[in-house]
Amino acid sequence: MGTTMHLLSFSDIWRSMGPEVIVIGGAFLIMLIELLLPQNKRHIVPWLAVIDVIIATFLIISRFGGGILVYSSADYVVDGFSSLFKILILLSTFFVILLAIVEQRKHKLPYEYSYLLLFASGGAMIITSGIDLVLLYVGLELLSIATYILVALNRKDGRSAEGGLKYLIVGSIASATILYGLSFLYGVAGSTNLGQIAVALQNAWTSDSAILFVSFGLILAGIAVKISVVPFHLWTPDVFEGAPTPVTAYLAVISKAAVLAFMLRILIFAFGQKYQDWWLLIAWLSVITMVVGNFGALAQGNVKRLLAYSSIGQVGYLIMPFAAIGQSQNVSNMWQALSSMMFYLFAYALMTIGAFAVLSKVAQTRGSEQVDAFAGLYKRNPWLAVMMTIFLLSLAGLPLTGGFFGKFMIFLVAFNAGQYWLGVVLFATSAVAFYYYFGILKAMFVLEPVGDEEPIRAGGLLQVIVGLCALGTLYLGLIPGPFLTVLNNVHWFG
Amino acid sequence: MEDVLLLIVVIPLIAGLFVLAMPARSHGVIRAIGLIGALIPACFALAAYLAFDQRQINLQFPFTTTWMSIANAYNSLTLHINLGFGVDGISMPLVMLVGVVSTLTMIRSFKVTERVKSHYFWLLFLTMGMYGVFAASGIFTFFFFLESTLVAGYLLINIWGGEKRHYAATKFLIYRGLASVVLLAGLIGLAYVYASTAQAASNSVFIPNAPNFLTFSISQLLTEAQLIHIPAASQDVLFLVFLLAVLMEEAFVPFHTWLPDTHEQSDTGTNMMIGGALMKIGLYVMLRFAVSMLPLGLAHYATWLAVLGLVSILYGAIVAIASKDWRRLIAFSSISHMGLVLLAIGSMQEIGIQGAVFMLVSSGLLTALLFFTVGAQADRTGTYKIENLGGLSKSLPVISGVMLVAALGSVGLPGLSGFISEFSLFVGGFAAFPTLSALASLSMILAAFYLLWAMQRTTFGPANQALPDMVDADVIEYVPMVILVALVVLLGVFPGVLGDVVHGTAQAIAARIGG
Repeated sequence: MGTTMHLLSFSDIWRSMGPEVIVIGGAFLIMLIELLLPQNKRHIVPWLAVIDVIIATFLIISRFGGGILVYSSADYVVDGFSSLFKILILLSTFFVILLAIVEQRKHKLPYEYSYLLLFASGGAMIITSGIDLVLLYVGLELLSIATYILVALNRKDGRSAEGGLKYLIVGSIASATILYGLSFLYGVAGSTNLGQIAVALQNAWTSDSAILFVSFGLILAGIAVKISVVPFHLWTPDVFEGAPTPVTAYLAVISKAAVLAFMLRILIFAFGQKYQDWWLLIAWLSVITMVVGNFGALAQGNVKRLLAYSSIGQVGYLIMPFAAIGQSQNVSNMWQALSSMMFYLFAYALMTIGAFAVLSKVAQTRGSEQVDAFAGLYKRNPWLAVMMTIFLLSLAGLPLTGGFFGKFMIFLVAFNAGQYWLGVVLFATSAVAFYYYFGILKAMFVLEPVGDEEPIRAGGLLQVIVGLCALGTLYLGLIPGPFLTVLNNVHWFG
Repeated sequence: MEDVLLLIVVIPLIAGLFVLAMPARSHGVIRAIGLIGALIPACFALAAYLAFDQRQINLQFPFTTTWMSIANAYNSLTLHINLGFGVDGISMPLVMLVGVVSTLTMIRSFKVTERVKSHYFWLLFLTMGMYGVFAASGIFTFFFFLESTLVAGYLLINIWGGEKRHYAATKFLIYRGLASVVLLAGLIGLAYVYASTAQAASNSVFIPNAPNFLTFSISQLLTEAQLIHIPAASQDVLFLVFLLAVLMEEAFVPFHTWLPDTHEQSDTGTNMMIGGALMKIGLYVMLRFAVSMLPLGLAHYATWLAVLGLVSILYGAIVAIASKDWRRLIAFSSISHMGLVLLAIGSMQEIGIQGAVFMLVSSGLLTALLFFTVGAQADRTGTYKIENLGGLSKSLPVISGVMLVAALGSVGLPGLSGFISEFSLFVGGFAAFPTLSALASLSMILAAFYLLWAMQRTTFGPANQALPDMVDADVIEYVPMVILVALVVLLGVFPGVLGDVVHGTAQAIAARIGG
C-alpha cells in the first residue's frame, strides 16, 4: 500500500476511477440531456445510458489484470476483486436498462430511471473499490438513495409507492446501523482507512473488544438487511413485488452484489483477525437463510414473490463460501471461496435477470404475476418457455447450467474446508427448491392456457436480453473452464 | 467401435431435435423419427454387446474427453472433470435393456395422439438420459444424465398421465429429486475420501494417475478401490448415504409410495420406460459405487440390506395381493422383486451379484411386457381395474396369452428369464442368510398367488358383459410382444447369452467384497 502522501493528479483519477467517472459523469450528462430534449425525442435517453455502460465496461476489461493500483494514500484500490465486481455490476446494469426499455414501452415509466440506474451502479462500483470507511459509506448511500427512488418509480401504482416507502424506511435504518457501527470502528482505531484500522485493531482487540463486537454486530446487521439475510429479510417480498420488474432485478442482483462486496471488504480487512470468533455466526446465518428462503418460496403463488424468496435462498448460498472456510488457516481456501462466490454471482446475475425478463413479458401480456399466468406458456410462446426453463433449471441447480456449477463450486469449498454439514444443507435446500421451480415448469408445459390461446409476442429486444442471459447461463454450465482460469489467476486484493 | 457409446447416447438427442424441427401436425414423420432415433442406438448397443470382450474386467469402449479442471479443489489437488463413457459386465446388459425397452416404447407410443411432438421429444430425451446413466464412466457425466431423466420423467407423467397425474408427477419429482441430491453428496464424498486416502497412500502404493488423486472417473476409482484401503468408518458413512439414496431411488419400503402412484397415473409408454429401465438405476448405483468401491461398508451393513430387502419383498407381495388396479399390482410386484436383489447383494456372494444383474434385466423385460399387455387390453376395455375385467381370453386370446407369459415369467416359471434370476438370487441369499432367505422364498408363493389370481380374474371366468366388443392385437402390437417374449424365453433357456457377459465383472466384484 502507498506510504507516501502525494497529490492526486487528474491522470491518477482517470486511471483509478475512470469507469466510475464515466458512469457517474454520464449520469449527470444524461440527466441534462433528458431535460433539454423535447418530450417526443426522450426515448433515446435510455440508449445513451446503455452506451455509457458499454464504454465503462470496456474500459474495465481493457485494464483488467493490469496489476493492482492503490490511490490517494490507500483509500481507493483497483484490484482483481473490485474489477470483477465492477464487470458484474455493469453487465447486470446493461441488461437491466435494456429490460427497462422493454418495460417502458408498455408501462410508461418515467425516463428518470436511465440515470438513476447509472447513479446507483456508480455507487455500487465505488463500494467495490473503496478501502476507506467514508468512501465505502458514500458509495453505499449513493446506491441506496438511487434505489429508493427507483422502487417507487411506478408512481401511479399503489404497490410501487408502498414498496418504495418500505424500502426507504428499512434501508435507511440499515444504513444508519451500519454507520453507527463504522463510527465505533473509527473511534477505536482513530482512522477511517481499512488498512490502518486493521493495524490498530491488532492491539485494540484486547483492550476494547466489547465495543468492537458491538461495532461488528451493528455492521453485520445493517448488511444483513441490505442483502436480505434471514432474519432481516422481511422487507424483501413486499418491495420486490411492488417495484417495477427491472428494478426488482436490479435489487436482486446488483444491490446484493455490491453490499456483498462491502461486507467482504469490511469483514476481511477490519475484522479478519478475529475470524475464528465469528465464522460460525455467518455459517448459521447462511443456513437459516437457505432454509427460510427456500421453504418460504414453497407457499408463494405470485412468481415475483416466489423469485424474491428464492433470491433470499440464493443469498444463503452466496455467503456460504465465506463462512465455509471456517477454521482453515490456508489462504488458498480463501481464494477458492472468493472464486466460487464470484462464479455463482455471475451465474446468479444472468439467470435471475433472465427469469425476471420473461416474467415481465408474461405479466405484461397476461396482466397477472401469478403462476397461473404462465399456464400454457409453451403454446403461447415456445421460445420464452424454453428460455425460462433454462433459467429455472439453473436456479434449481440442475447440471449443465451455471447455477449447478456455481453450487458445485461452493460445495467444493465447504468440502475442502471440512465443513461437510454446510454442503449437505446446500444440497438439501436445493432439493426443496425443485418443488417450486418445477411448479412453474409444469404450468408452462403441462397446463392448458387459461382463457384464450392468444400467443404472446415477444419483441426483438426482449428476445435479445433473454437469449443472451440464457446463453451466458449455459456457457457457465457447459464450458466453465475459461472463466475458472480467469478466477484462478486473478489477484484478489491490493 | 471406440466411440460407439458416445453415438448411442447422442443419437436419441439428435433425433429429439429433429422431432422438434418438424411441424406439430405431421404425426407420421415424428413417429418415424422417434422409432429410428431409438432403433439405431439399440442396434449399436447390440453390436457393442456382441463385441464385448468377456475376459476383460475394465470398462470397455472407453470414450473420454476432458471437460474442465478446477484447480486447488481439495488439499491443493486439481479436480479434472471428464465427459466419459465406458461399460463393463454390469452396465453392458443394462445399456442393451434400455435399447430394447426404448425401441419398443416408441412403437407402443404410436397410439398416443395428444401432443405427439412433445411426447416423442421427451421419450427420446428420457432414452438419452437412461443410456447416459448406464454408459457413463464419470461421476459428473452420470449425474447429468440422471437429472435429465428426472426432468423428462416429470413431464411425461405430468402431460400424458391419468386423472391425478399432477400429484403423481410431483411425488415422482420430490422422491427422485431428493434421492439424486443425496446421491450426489455420496458421489462427491466418495471421490474426496478416495483422493485423500490415495494421496496419503501414494508413498507406499503405486497409484496409476498420481499425482492427480482427485478424480471423478469411475474406472479410476474402481482401480483405486483395489489398491488403497479406505478407513472403515468413512466407508460406513458413505455406504449409508448411498443406501439412503438407493432406497428412495428404487422405491424400497418405506420410501416406496411414489412408485405405485407414478405407474397408476402414467400412460403405457411411459410406464414401460420407467418400469422397464428407469427403475433399474437405483440398484445399478448400488452395484457400481456402493458395492464395488465400499466393500467394508457393504460388509458392515450386509444384514441391514438383507432385512430391508426382506421387508420390501414381503410388503410388496402382500400389498400386490390387495391391489385392485393392474398397474399398482405391477408396481408392487416390481418392488418385491427388487427387494430380492437387495437381499442377494447383502449376501455378498458372486452368484448373488450375477443374479442381481439377471434380475434387473429380466424384471425390466417382464415389467415392460406386463405394462404393454395390460395397456393393450386397457386400450380396448377402457379399464385397469381387475374387478371390471374378466373372460378376456375369449375376446383377446393373443394379448391374454402374452400377458400370461409375462405373469408366469414374473412368478419364476422355469424356462423363462424370471426363474434363472430368482434361482441365482436365492442361491446367494441362502448361503449367507438362511432364515431371511427362507422367509423371502415365501414371496415366490405370494407372487404366484397375486399374479395368477389377477390373471384368472382378468382373462378367465365369465366375460364381463359391460365390456365393449374388441379386436385382438394388430400387426404393430405383435412386434413388441414377440420381441419381448422371445428375449424372455432366450434368457430362460440360454442364460449364457447374458451370463457370459456378466460373469467376469461379477467375479471381480465378488473378489473385492470377499465373496
